[in-house]
Amino acid sequence: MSDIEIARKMFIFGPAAPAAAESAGAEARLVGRIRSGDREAFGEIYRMFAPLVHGIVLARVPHDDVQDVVQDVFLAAYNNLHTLRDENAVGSWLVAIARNRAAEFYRRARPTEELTDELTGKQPPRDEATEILAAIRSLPETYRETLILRLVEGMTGNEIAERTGLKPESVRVNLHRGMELLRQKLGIGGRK
Amino acid sequence: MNDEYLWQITGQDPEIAKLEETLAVFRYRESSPPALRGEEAKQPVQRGFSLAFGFAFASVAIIVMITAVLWFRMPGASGADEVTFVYVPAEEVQPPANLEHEIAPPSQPMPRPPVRPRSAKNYTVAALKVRRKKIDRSSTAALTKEERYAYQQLMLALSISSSKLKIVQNAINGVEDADNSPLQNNR
Repeated sequence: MSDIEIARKMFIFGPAAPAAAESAGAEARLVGRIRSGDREAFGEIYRMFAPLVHGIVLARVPHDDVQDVVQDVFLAAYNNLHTLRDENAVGSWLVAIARNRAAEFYRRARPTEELTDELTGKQPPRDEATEILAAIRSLPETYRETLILRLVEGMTGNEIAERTGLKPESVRVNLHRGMELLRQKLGIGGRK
Repeated sequence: MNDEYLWQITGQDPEIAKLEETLAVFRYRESSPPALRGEEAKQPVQRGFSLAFGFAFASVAIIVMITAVLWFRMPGASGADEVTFVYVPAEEVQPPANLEHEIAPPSQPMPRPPVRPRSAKNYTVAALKVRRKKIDRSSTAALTKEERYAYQQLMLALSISSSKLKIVQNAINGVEDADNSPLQNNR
């Protein structure tokens, strides 16, 4: 019996189960290749998970600094690959590293203080996109990350569940409730 | 709000589509992975084994310590039946002074002189006695309130450490089983 068939029988994931099992197997193979010294495999892992890590970091760090933190996350992942115990759970492991690095970004940034807008005499760019992103960032963490992965990174609910290791049901609830909260914050539409 | 569009981007929801379009400026743009330095990725370490070894070592050390403490505190453990050698000097026996001058047989049987011990000395070690001094267990076995409390705490710590070791062993067995199973990740 193949991994996909087992997944289909054991977990009620619906149509996402085969994709999840295939993806998990691919992740494990890539991790094995990286450990055996294949750097091309690291590039593949990067391409596979960079949007996920980008979304997680964007939920916390200013947009201008996101790319630096993403690179930092992948470097840390490479250097600490020996600590990865479940080779099929690379996504959730990377998410954890991304959250830690984002928190570290603020710890490192604490001693420096930016000039305020009054002092610089400039008006901050408050376009619509920035306002919506700020509204999403003001939501609770669970909704914030899921909404950014869905609305900014363009991932489907199943993809979010598959990459982050969350249950699809949880992702569905987070998306629905998060969207309702966002609509309230932005004052668009009405509660249905 | 179209839930299907929100979930798997099928159907239509102009409101969400507009949000997506607006937020697209923040979307990830393909970039090259970070440049890796010369070193290779480190191999995984058997954390489970080292952790189990540490717990096992700590548990054994605790058990040995507790056993030692209990052994030395146990009444009579260091010689419950204490053997004491005691010298008891024999009484000096004087021969009767008029023994040689007695001619007439005594009307009454003479009292038998006490048997002289083999030693030439006045007192000998013949009376060396080995006395077993029994220690009153009931008096020493009675622990004070504090000692009884300490004893109970030690026993509790022992049981906790052994149960922890059991949990770790089970966890390791579970990890090893999971490593061998075809599907490890319960998402």
